[in-house]
This record gives sequence, structure tokens and C-alpha cells, in this order.
Amino acid sequence: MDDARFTHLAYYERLVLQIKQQVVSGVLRPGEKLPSVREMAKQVRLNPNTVAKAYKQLELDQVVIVRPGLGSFIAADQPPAAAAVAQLRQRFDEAVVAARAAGVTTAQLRAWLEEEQE
Amino acid sequence: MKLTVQNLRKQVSGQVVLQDISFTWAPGEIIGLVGQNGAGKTTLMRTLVNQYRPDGGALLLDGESLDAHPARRESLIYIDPTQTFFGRYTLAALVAFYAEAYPAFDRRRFASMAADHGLKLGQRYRELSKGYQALVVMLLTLASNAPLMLLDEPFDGLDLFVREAIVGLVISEVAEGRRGFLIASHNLIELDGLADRILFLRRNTISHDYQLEDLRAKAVKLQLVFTQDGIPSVVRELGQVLSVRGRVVEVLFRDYTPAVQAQIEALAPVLMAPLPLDLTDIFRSEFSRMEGER
Repeated sequence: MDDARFTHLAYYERLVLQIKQQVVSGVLRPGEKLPSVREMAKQVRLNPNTVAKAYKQLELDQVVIVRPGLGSFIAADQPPAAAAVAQLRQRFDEAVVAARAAGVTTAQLRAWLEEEQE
Repeated sequence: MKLTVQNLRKQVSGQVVLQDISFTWAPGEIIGLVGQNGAGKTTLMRTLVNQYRPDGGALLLDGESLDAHPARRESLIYIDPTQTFFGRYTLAALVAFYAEAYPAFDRRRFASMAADHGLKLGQRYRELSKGYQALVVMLLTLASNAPLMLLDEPFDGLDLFVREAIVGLVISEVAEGRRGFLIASHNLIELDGLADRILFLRRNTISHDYQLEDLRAKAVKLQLVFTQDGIPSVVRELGQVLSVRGRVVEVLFRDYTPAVQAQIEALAPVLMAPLPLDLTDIFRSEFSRMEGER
């Protein structure tokens, strides 16, 4: 929850991003069970309704699968949702244009991308 | 279950402390009750549980008036730690007292939670430290099993571990959806994240009722620096200036739409960076606006 880049977002959005990051980095593996809403709420000290909203968003984004009565599990494969990818591409392009206009070089952009992957 | 507060009004010694107080509250919600010192937070709690008789308005539980159905008052609990009778009693005696008032009181649960924190039933309330007294109030409230629990400054004087324990207990209770909390606190950092809704008590009434996550999703706090002197008027129109330090301005935009963003960007600020938005900012904007209105 403490990633400085996301602190301007709503708490549920921050939790969604945190869990997505953990999936991307392999901290959370496919098939792994997420803590219950109550447990997660206690861990991150957030209102349970906020956690429930984040879990719902993760389900919508197909990052987790809900097995009724069992809990939320990290999806086996993470199919990139085409619409989401297209939207991200657009935002990426906007950011690149803005960066170029501000005098940022392609080499610098590449360096930023690599920093992100580390 | 739903509590409906309608146009509640209360005078204390001829002074209007509360008027036109209206809101609804259901189990599953953690509401933060926030206001400046003397705004009437404690008076509101006392009036909700009939410790003070209201001078007007109505309290309804699932549509039934609490005046007409006094037994339903068992659904609400507010333990006023300043009650003078408290001090000389042992914890066991306090448990007996509340178990009589609240038939669903869970004595075993109280005993086990008290033991978890090293409290003994034979100890007298007044012999406990301030922090442990606050903890006892919290544990009595939880053990009552009343669906709607009112807490007045529950974090005051508590050390980190007891505070975390209390937050954990509140979260667990609410996660089941069978309990709701109304928490009066001036410790906004403690409420941030915990409360999903905030009632602002201002000028004797509820000035705003915010769903915090909706607010956070829409609002943005920006740090801005402009080349020209002074703050552009557009910024003042669209947002609320929270602070000015030299040329660095912090502004809260409650409804940060792409149109608003475009208007700010058109001013070509030298610096435009989003900052974390917390309850303190919302509090500040709420009450600094009041000054402007006067």
C-alpha cells in the first residue's frame, strides 16, 4: 500500500495495484489463495468494504478467480484483456508525446522503462 | 437493520448544541464522526443513546421509533468513560452491570479478550492506566454484541500495540457485516482507511456526509508552481488552496475531471505533481472554507 507512485489513488485502487504488482513480480503465484477479506483488511488496516471492493475489481480484471465458499485465488493464466491493453497503449502514447514535448529523449524513455523492470 | 436519525435537536443549558441532525447508519459501516473541539460530537453520542433526552426530532430503528419501542435501544451501545460511577467498580462488576443492560452480552468473550491483554476481572477501573481504561471501554462495548457501537475517542492515550489490537477488533467485527461503528475522533490519521464514511459536524449540524473512497477516487491533491506571481484565479475557482509555501501551492480538486486537468495544464505550471490525499486534507478544506464563508 505504500508505493509512493500510487498514493494519490483511492485505497481500493492502491490495493488492486499492489496485488497486481505482486502477481507480476511472482510474490503471488497462480493458484495461490488470497487472504479472506477480513484477514486482508486486518493486515493492511483498511475498512473491509474497501478490501471487498478491491477484490471485486481484481475479479473483474481477471487477476483473481472467486471460488464460491472457498475464497479468491490468483488466476492460473493472466489473459491480457484486449480493451484494457488498448486503453493502456493510448495512455502510454500520450505519456510518450508529453515526454518528448518536454525534451525527454528516446534513450531516457528507454532507461525509465528499464528502471521499472528492475 | 438501519438507524435513521431525523432532525435531531439538543440544547444544553439553553444553548443549541445540535440541530437538524439527520443521517442513516447500518451494520457493516464504520462512520467517522469528525468536527472541531466543542462541535458536539459527544453530545450527539449521548443523545443517540438517550443519555440526553433530545429536544426534537426522531430516532428510528427499521422505521420504529425508539421512544415507542424502548427495548430496541439495546441495539445501540455507547459507554461514556466519564461516567462517575465507573471508577470504584471492578471489571467483574462492570461486566455484571452491562450484562444486565445488554442481554446478548458475551461474558466469556469479555473474559478472554481481557486476559489477552493481561487484565484481571478483580482490578478496579480507576486503578488502571488511561490506556487500559480505554481498552476496557472498548472490550465492554464489543462484548455487548449490540449491532451499532458508538466509540468516543477510542484511540486516546493508547500505545501502538493496544491501538492496533483495537483497530483489528473493529475490522473483524465489521467484516462479518453484523456490526457498525460510529467513531468520534480527532485522530484523523487513525480514522483514515478505517472509516468508509465521514460525517462532518460543523455549526451544530452535519455539514457533509462523505463516502471516502468515492471522494478519493474523484479528488486529487496537487502540488503546483506557476511562473507568474500569485495563484491563478482559475485554480481558486476549480479547487481549494490548502497551503502556500513560497511559490509552491497545494490545492485540493474535489472533482478532478479531464476538463479540470486540461484547464490546469493550460496554465503551464512549472511543477504539477499529485500528492497523497488523506483525511487531514479533507478536514482542512472543510473547515477552512468555513472561514471564507463568514
